[in-house]
Amino acid sequence: MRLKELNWTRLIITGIILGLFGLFLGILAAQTGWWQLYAQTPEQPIDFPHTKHAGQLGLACTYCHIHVEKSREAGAPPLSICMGCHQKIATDKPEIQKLTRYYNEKKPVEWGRIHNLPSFIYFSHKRHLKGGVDCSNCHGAVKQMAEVKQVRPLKMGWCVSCHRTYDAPLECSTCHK
Amino acid sequence: MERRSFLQILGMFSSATVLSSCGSEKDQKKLISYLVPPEDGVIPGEATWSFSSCQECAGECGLLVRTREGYPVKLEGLPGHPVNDGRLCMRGQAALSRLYQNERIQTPLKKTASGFEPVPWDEALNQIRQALQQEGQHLYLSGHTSGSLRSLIDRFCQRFKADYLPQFELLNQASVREANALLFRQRALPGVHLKEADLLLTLGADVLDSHTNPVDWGRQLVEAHEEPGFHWTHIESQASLTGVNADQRLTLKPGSESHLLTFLLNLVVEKGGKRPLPDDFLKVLPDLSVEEAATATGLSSGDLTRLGQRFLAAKRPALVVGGTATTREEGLQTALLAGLIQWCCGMIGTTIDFGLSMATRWGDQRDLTRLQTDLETGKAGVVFLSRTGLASGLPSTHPALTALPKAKLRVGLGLTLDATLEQCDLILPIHHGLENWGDTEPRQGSYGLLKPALEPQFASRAEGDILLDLMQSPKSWQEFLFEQWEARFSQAELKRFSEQGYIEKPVKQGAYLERKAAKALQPLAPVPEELQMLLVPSVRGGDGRSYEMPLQQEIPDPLTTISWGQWLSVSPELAAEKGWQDRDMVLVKLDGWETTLPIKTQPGLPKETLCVQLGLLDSLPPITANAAGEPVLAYAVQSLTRAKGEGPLPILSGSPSQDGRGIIPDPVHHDDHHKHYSIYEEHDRPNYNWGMVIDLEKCVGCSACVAACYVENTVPIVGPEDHRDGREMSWLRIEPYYDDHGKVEFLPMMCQQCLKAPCEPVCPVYAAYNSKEGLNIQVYSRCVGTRYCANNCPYKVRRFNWFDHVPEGNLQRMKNPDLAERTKGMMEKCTFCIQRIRQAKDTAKDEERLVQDGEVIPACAQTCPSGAITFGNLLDKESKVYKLTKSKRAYKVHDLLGTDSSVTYLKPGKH
Repeated sequence: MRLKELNWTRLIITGIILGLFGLFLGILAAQTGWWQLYAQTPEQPIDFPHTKHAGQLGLACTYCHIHVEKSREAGAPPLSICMGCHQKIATDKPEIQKLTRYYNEKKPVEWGRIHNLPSFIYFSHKRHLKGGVDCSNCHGAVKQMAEVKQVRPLKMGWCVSCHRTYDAPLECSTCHK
Repeated sequence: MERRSFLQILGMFSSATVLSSCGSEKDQKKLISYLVPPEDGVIPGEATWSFSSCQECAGECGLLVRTREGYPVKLEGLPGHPVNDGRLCMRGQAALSRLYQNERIQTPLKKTASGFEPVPWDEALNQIRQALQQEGQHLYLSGHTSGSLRSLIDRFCQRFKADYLPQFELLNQASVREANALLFRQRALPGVHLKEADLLLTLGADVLDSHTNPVDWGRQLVEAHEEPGFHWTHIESQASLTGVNADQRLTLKPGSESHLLTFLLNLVVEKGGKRPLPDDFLKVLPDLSVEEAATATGLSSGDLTRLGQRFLAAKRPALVVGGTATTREEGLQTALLAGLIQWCCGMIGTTIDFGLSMATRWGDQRDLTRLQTDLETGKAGVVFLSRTGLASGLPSTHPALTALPKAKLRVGLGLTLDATLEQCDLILPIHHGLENWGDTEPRQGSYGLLKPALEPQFASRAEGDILLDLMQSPKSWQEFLFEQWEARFSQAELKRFSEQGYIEKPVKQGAYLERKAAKALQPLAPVPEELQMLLVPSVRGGDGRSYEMPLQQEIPDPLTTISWGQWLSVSPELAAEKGWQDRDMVLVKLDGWETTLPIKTQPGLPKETLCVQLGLLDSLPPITANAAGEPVLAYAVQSLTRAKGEGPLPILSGSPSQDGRGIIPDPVHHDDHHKHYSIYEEHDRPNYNWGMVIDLEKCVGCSACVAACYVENTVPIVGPEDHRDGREMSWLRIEPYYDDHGKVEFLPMMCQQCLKAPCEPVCPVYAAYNSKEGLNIQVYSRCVGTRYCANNCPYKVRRFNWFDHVPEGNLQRMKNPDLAERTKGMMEKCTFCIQRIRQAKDTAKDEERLVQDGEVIPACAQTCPSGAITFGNLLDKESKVYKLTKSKRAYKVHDLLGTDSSVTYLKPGKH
């Protein structure tokens, strides 16, 4: 009788421990899933091949992303830059025709944003470029990406590890607005 | 378990609960490209600046508009501008909310049986054009208008034989202008050169509240006080912010102003002034002895004698009357006497300058009678009402308003559908000043530029374009303006005008005394014996119009610390006599008008006076006009009785007194001999230790800094309920401290950025910490809202977000994108405008140097009209701020607590 009771208690305890472990695993799985969702690559209105421009043609990133060295925001390239070349080049391709349509209709392209930082973060592209950080350090080898994806976590721990390595400021207020 | 790992696990659990809401399509952010990069060098993420002029009052200060991604986010004064030189008052700081207010009219509207309905511009303009062709006397009434727009309205009125009525301003200062017209043939408000004066006597003129331009006055008064021997006496029958800041403040019985001036003029005549008083005036000038003057004014004969002696001894005195001294039945007499004193003492042409005249085209209440007569006789054709504020400034029973429906067509021009425009048949939305081209002439010889800082947000039009279109002119408003400028300025001047946003061509101008004016001088009216209620302008509301902006009510009145709501100021003597407490409701009965109001005792208020600020009352008492057409805003109180209950009045200050806490110590003790011991570790500050010095001698409590802080830091407006619960959010507040004699000192209080901050060690999540630059940082995203820090702060400057405060609709555009959004449950506080520090450091780093002195100016210091706030790096021994901390007047609030704060105050007084 006494033993039976003890078994019950043991069962309950084991159940709780297993349950907690299961919950932990669940959370872990959910977080991985969340990361997948978080880093989900959005659909783009125009299928822009970075492989062609940055890869094969070897254009510098700053050729199109004109604000990146002057401002904290990199910004999307103005369509006038695209049209500078594509008035003449590859005008037969459907994606270029799409682009021309946007330009002629004076409609800005709404690109899906891939790299997002929380709104409470101060991040300056200019500062990082002037400090000698290469675009690929945070954005990966965009030159080789047929479809651009977020390849770095862009989380605080990741930022801080780099700041530590390169002796950059570790002050909270450097990045937290 | 370590605190960190505990928090990590906690974070993991909580992240699991919000999983479902993450990563949905809805949250997908967009990156929108430019079609063509803007030519004017707009870079996303970087601010641009443009010129404009403030339209909140007739002062017309120059503006620098900070624009981010195409939308203005902050207004600052334009450095060098002749009237404000880089500073703005609190109303000017808040004025940005007029641009984004959700009540803006978006299309032309037409009154129909079922209310207002949108109509296309063409239809609206055609209807006006047709009506203008018909018989009738067309009338154009506008609020204060200067510069080229005024010339265009003149032309428009000539073309359609319309009557351009003198401009309507409620506080029209008509008595002074009429007196100047009679005495000196100058119907205007002259400028004042304080720098050249050694004595300033202001009678009723609330120069730091709303008089002509509080920014200009604040600046000039500080400059004048730098001259040794300058003295400022203010005499009034109320308790204004202006009065409490004067070197000497005297109170007299309301209605006895002309008695005081008669006494002074007699003294000047007896002693023999710089210029003799012509016989015509001498004959009608009543004689008044010291004793008689003392009985009439309620001042002691000692005070009067000393005042007279000081006045006679002054070499270059200046006398300015206005405000409650002239918004009275006998206002013209007071103004005439003041004009004669100005003449006899040789002020005209020296300290008082008609070359800097303003309000030259303002009208008075007599013009409203003209409007009313035209309306009542059925003569009136089309009546244009442009930016008048007529119906909010006057009681709804005013004959000019009740006669309005008799016009054939009423056309209203304005930004919002206010009480005036609601009376109109057609409503035309006009551009806000920041959306428009234009120019101003704040005073004779000074010109300011208005350049659009953003694209018009709605289908509004420039008033100029509307008029030109009605005139069927091929020109646009912009072309008209450019033509005007080319005619007015030389090429060199035009270049300066467009490059610096203003131009000044002052001509000093005196005047001659007109003897015939003696006829206008009347015998002295007896001083009323009964209790009087005065409607007074205020630093927050001006003539009442600025109270339309919620921020002006959210920021407390500096004298009473009341934020939202209306109240009746009562002298402490009267309250004690009746046994009334603050917030008690009382019933005030005037002739034909009554209301119940909560009371607030106001030290320094004469016992004979009750005061209510303009713009706060739900219904106005009837407003009549005096002989000069100035509104009479003084009323004999028929009865004043206790009504039931208490009013829900948020009085933010806990106590009007310092209660011996030495917050403004007298004298300052410099205790440099004792070493301060501290349990905190010392921080290493390699490059910067940001610090601030606030000179309490210069601070006038005008609250411009508070408004600047609100706008710069997107501090939420929470409203009256939260204020009553003590949940105000202001990062910076003005604390008034009264002494036993009713004298008040102001102390701006914000986060003191303690180097040994009591708030930091109590934070369980390391959200509050001390930076390597001596800043007390609050990391919002870390804050979990325990509020321990606020409890441990001896300065009570930390603010907790009890709710989410998201501005509605268009007002979100005012948000400063350089700051993080604070949400429910976060603690926030003054950061010394860290976003500005960050910006300056970024620029300095580009140039491979350290930030230099004067490069970082927080919003409060930037706007302070009297320049009381200095900010800089305390490690830089050459910096202005470091030198000021070594002043003999320097002290820190609650220094004994060992907080080692970074804000140093300079005790009021010269030594």
